[in-house]
Amino acid sequence: MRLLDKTILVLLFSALFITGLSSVIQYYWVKTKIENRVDRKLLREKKLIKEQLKGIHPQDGFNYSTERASVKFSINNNTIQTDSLFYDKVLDKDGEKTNYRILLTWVSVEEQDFRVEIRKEVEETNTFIQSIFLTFLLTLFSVFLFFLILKYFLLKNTWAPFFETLALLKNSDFQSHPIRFNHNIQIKEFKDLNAELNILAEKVYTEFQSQKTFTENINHELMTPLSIIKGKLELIIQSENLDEQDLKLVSDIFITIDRLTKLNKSLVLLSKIDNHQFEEKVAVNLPELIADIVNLFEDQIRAKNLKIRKQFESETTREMNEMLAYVLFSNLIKNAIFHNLDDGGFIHIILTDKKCEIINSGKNSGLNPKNIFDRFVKESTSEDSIGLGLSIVSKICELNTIEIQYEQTDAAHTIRLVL
Amino acid sequence: MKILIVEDDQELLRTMLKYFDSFGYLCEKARTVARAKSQLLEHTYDCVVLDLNLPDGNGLEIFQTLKQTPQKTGVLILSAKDSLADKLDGLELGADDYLTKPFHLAELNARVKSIVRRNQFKGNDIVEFNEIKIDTTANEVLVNDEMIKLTKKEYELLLFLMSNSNRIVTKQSLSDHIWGDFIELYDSYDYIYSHLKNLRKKILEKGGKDYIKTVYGIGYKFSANDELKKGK
Repeated sequence: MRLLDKTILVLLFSALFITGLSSVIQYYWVKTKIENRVDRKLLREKKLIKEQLKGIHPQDGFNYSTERASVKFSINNNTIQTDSLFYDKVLDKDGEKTNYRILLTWVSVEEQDFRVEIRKEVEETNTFIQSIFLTFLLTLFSVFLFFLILKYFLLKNTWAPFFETLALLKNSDFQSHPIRFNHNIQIKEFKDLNAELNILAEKVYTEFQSQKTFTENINHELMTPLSIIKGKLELIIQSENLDEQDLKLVSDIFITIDRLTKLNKSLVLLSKIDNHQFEEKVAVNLPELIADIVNLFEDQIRAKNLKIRKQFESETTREMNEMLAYVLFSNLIKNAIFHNLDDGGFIHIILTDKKCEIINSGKNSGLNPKNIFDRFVKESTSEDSIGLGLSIVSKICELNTIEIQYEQTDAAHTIRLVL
Repeated sequence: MKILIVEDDQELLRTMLKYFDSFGYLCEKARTVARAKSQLLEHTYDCVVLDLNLPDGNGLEIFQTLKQTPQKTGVLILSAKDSLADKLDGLELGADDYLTKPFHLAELNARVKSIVRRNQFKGNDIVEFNEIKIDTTANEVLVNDEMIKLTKKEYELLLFLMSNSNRIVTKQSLSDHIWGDFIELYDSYDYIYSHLKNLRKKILEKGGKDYIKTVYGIGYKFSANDELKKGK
């Protein structure tokens, strides 16, 4: 729900409550006032009647009754009762029920008791309620109308800077550009907000940039010494004074440097993915890419006597970074080959518009499907580990909003990418 | 062959110079952009090995100077940054190749040779070792003037070994040359071995000699001299 809609709704409900409450109070207040006046009139009438009853004897067969009052002799002399005021509906001449305020009282004149009932029509009350209700509706309607206009005005004026800020926040890439929020605003809170956002945006930008340079620098700084070590070793092995054992030692160093290099490259790649440094995207032709990668591993496939079945149901292309697409699929296909049976296994690659499945035969690896993709980096330094490769895979998927699933049945492992 | 190496790291520079020296190349060095520019104006080179991160600027600046020189000079960019943008920038400016650190000297040498071959006109696209000839334009291999059919990988391995003839070439550099150095392939050496075995067989069939020597534990050597074989 929008901020202003919510505000207006709260205001509207408050208005409804207050006008409703005031209408009720108004009704009872005015009603009491009118009642008091009517009652006073009735009591005055009672006095008048009392005056008129002087000198009238019961023997005269007195029985007076009009629309407004009726007077009777009371037979029970001793039961003088107090006045009672109440409402009652009385059928009038036209056969319609009319609301009356009635004063029932006993009057004692010259030792004679009379039962006196004085009536006063109070038809006005209904009209009165009606008019109060109408006023209530009218007020409510005008309040509603007023709020609509108010909302429009607030949107256009008061809250406009806020929505501008919000739009800028939504549509900006804070990491690659320094974003400036307008601080030329009259409203203090919005001005403060934008000032704070400017500080934050500046911080995000500079920190990202320095992180980026740091990553690049570290890469550079490590690669040059590694080049030197590698180069010097290559020079050493050209020497004719080395025996087999020496060469074996050098070879071990080569292998270690290789691991170090690849580990470093993987870590740099991970941080580059984290830093969104693979933004250039093209439409990658997935069938072509997969076929290329399978070709690259033809030796390994032949050696393990693997049956490759490619089932490409469409010319699927996907917008993603070319390099990352290559890294993603080469890692997955490599795993499917290396963690396959030693002889006569299979790899089944199914590609449709919606998903890519790589199913391979293999031993029961005991891998937990739940945490297979977020293994700790440390594990991956061992030679046959797949940890870092899969971390990279899951990072790339995350970046491209590809869902990745892993399933294992008795003899088949399935990696499914939901494209 | 005359090569200019532009690299600010003294040790790396020395290492490259030493390897190139052993092939008899004429090498000169420059450790700054300014020095590289002035040297390019004074001399002509067949190839420039160019590091991008230099103390006084970006190595790509030398392309302005290269445009002013009449002769076509090959450029191989040597960079620590494995970034596509940098690679594209360099190649767009006119670089012939791009090699990422850390690299194998054998790989660097093979690439420099390939650049020089491509930039020269007069039939220099032939790599020769006694009875074996590689026509690098047609991707054909002749043994005693008879063509042999090689797979792509066998061809690449042969060219790589011949470019670094009489040097021990490590298994790693061969593996990286064929599969790239990105993916971890811990059994690639076995496949190198079997490709080389097939290659050897094909050359022997046409009456060629067995020049591909296995150097135990470390790699291979393309050499005519049996005595150089390691181990007793």
